[in-house]
Amino acid sequence: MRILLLEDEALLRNQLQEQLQQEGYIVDASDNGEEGLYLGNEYPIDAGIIDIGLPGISGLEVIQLLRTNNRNFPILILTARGRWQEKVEGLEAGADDYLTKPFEVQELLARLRAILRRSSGHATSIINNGPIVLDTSTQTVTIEKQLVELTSYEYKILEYMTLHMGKVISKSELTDHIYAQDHDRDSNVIEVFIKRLRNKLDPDQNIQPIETLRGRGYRLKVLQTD
Amino acid sequence: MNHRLSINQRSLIAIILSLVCFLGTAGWLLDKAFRDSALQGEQQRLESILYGLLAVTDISPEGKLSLPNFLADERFNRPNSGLYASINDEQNESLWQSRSALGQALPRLYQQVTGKRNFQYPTASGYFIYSAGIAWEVEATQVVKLDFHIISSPDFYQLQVTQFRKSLWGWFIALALILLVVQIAVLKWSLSPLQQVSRDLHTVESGKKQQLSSDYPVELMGLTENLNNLLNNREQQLSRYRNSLDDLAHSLKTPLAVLRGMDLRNAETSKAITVEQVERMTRILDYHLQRAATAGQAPLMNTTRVKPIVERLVNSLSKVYADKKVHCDIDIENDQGIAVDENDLMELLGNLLDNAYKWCSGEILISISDEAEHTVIQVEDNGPGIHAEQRNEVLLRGKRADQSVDGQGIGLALVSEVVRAYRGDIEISRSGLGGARITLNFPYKGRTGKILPYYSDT
Repeated sequence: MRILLLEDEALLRNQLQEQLQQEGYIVDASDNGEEGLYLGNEYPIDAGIIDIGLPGISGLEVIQLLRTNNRNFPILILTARGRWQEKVEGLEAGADDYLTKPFEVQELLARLRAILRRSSGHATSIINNGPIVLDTSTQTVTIEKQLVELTSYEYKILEYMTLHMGKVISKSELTDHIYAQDHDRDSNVIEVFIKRLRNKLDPDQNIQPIETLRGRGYRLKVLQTD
Repeated sequence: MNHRLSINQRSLIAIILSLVCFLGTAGWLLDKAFRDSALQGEQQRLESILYGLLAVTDISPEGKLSLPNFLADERFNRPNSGLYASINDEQNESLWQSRSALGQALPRLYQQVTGKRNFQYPTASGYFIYSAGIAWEVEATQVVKLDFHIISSPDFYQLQVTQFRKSLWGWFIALALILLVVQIAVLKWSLSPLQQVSRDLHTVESGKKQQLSSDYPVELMGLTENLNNLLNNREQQLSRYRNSLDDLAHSLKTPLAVLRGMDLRNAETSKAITVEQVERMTRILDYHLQRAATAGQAPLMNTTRVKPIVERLVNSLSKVYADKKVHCDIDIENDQGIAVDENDLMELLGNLLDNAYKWCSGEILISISDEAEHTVIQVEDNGPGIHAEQRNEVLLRGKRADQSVDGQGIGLALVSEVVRAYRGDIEISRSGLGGARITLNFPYKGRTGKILPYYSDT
């Protein structure tokens, strides 16, 4: 998942960036609204974390401009004052949730997962796809109530595909959302991960949840619940 | 230089203009009345002179005019006396002129209609002319037509008018000056309370007094009372800031003391203590910052319309709690207002509704009602509610920062602070919906925004 992080305070920005990266997110960070707007418009962003009190173009304006540009990824706003006036203005401008500084990183991560999940139309952190159950809050996957051990990258790919269940996802789209931009795009790691996922999810090849569409990409099948 | 005229200047200009208009018109009317009556007097005088002249005029049967050599009125005999007479025939040829007219060019005289009298003034020459056309019966069958003219110089009349004018305007100017002085004195007297307000304010400013004195005229009572309210409010706000700062400093001391007293050799407990105390300080800061930002009740406050604010909050919160599918019932009339600062109201309702959204199981009701002397806001939900024994404690959270904060956070404690800044009270009870009901009571009617008098903060 690719996160846009706009925060002018360097210390907090670096801290957040580090923690988000540890959680497996790709972070595009900036300390000003102009660059933030560019990143938000040009990059395949999945969610934004935007400080309302940015210098130059304010966070509020960034959100409004992104929304008028039809950039509809979910946005979490950070406010220092915690006044309702500010929160309401932010939410009215197009944000999806707010967090008042100071906050705990765990709280931020939970809110971030919630807005990501909500934006893909899932009401709870637990997403069912037939026998496959993915919990975005604990980042765990079970099949027939049996826990499946996944590496961080495997989980990220499955999460992205689950949130876009039934849609065709190209290899480059996966790369964009899973890797930072400097990653070598020609490598066949995605294929390797998909192969490993298939083995772990469906060792007996009964359900074959991940389809390959030649030249187009992959699709996670919407499975029937028994 | 102030481009606005002072009240003194305005009044002075108004007084001078009205005096000039009034006295000017009165003077002109009096002058005209005097001239009219003087003219009439002149006419009557000339008429009686004419009759006198007629009485001494005689015409022989041959039609010859005869008058005595010396007339009774001495002015007819003395040349250039200012009073002249002329008798003209039908062809307007002079048959006789008074001795006074000797060597004098009389003004042009016009033929008269028989039986008519005619008083002419002003004339081109400046003289008064009284003329009469008379048909003189010489014998039973013979009638001679004669025009009698009495000509009088206007000197006497002019003198009278001049003298009248002199005394008239003399008196008027004296009168105007007296009126002006009186008016200025009245003005000074009427405006003196304003100057007293300004002096009073000065003493308040210099700290010698807390309030404006109360013995002002009725017209200024509204102003001075409102000023007193403002002063009062400022005083209270200052003391709230002071207290807030004091509380903040004191409540930060405890966690700081704990941190300083930490045994740094024990990394495990140090870490736990640090996390705990940082959390505690964060809470303290939140609480006191919000508290200091409360505007509180102020005199002259406008009413804030409640419904738009509630709607904005509900729309925003519905987004944040999108997962919960909450139905919020808003029982508020469109024009319902309340005398609470807009930001404060947003803070109040934001915290209450946020709690309701957090704890409810899908049902929220917010309502406002106007009672006789107060406005009541209620927010209810169908969540677990707040236990009777916890209710007081919940309202005090944040104030006592050593308490662990769960769920309700410091929201309700803040609401309670804001409500108290408006001299209202807050009550927690059980809602008919099943969960908590928070009732806010504001001691004034919301619709009118009328604020009840201050009573001291205890």
